[in-house]
Amino acid sequence: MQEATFLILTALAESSQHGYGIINDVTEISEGRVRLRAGTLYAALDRLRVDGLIELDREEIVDNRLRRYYRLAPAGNARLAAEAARLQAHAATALNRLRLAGGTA
Amino acid sequence: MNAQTRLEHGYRRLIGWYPQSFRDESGPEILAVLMDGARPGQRRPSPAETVDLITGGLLMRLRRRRPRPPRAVTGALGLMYLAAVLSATASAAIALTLTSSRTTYLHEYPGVAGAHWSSVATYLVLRIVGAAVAGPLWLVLAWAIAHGRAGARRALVGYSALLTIVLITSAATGEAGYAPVALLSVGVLWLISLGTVVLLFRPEAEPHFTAPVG
Repeated sequence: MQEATFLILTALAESSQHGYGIINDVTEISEGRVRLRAGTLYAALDRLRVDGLIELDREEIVDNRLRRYYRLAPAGNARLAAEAARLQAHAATALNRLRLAGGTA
Repeated sequence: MNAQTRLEHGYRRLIGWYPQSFRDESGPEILAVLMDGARPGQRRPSPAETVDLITGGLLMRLRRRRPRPPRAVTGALGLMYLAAVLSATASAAIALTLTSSRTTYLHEYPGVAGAHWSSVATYLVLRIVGAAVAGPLWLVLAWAIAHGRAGARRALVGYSALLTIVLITSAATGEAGYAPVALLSVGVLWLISLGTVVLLFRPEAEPHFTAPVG
């Protein structure tokens, strides 16, 4: 799973969000390292919807502008959990080996 | 034209790179996100935004917007590509063994007149042409089935029925004796077409043919 996809799913893990909310949340989760642009975001959202990992939650009109809120679908929840567990296992192995080698971790 | 209207106009032009169906569905939403993210006083899309939206639009045009086909359909497609290759090979193989088929036929049935061989030969030539046409036909049907066309699935049933008739006729005329390659190839293609039909009519393949074509 690409990092941007992982971060978008993470942004939606707790509650539904609209496009601009996802962009801001991804920036915050990645501590400013990943700044999604609208084109990149919507390409990812489209793929995730087609694959059934996210779904439309609701629509709102704010200041005459359309806001769509997305939420994780059950399949997205399972994928994110599996990916997070995989990354955690890899990180744990990396830290463990660095410790054994007398590194700084 | 104030800065905001001008900026909105610029974004709308870039959103024009997206396919019509996507623009209808998500155009206003993307525009809202772009306007929310604009810097105060920004008058036109930044170069980075321009590249991002043009790339996104082009990618969306290339991308298929349907879910991945179920495994039964991808399996059937694999069999169909195999059938396309085998059909072309069968056509060439029957053509190359035509002379030896004639020798064997006349040797096996020494009493029959040459005229009888000519009707057998006509049948074999029809098979050579048929198999040559069937190669591209399998590919066309595979393309249509990959795109969820239910009509292609029905056409495949018809083609399987035709292969059944050819197989029975060939076996009944003793083709095993004088043109084993021709009989073997129709037998293999018949089995493949049967397997394809079974896969395509499995319940798990059904949504692939009922979802709207995108």
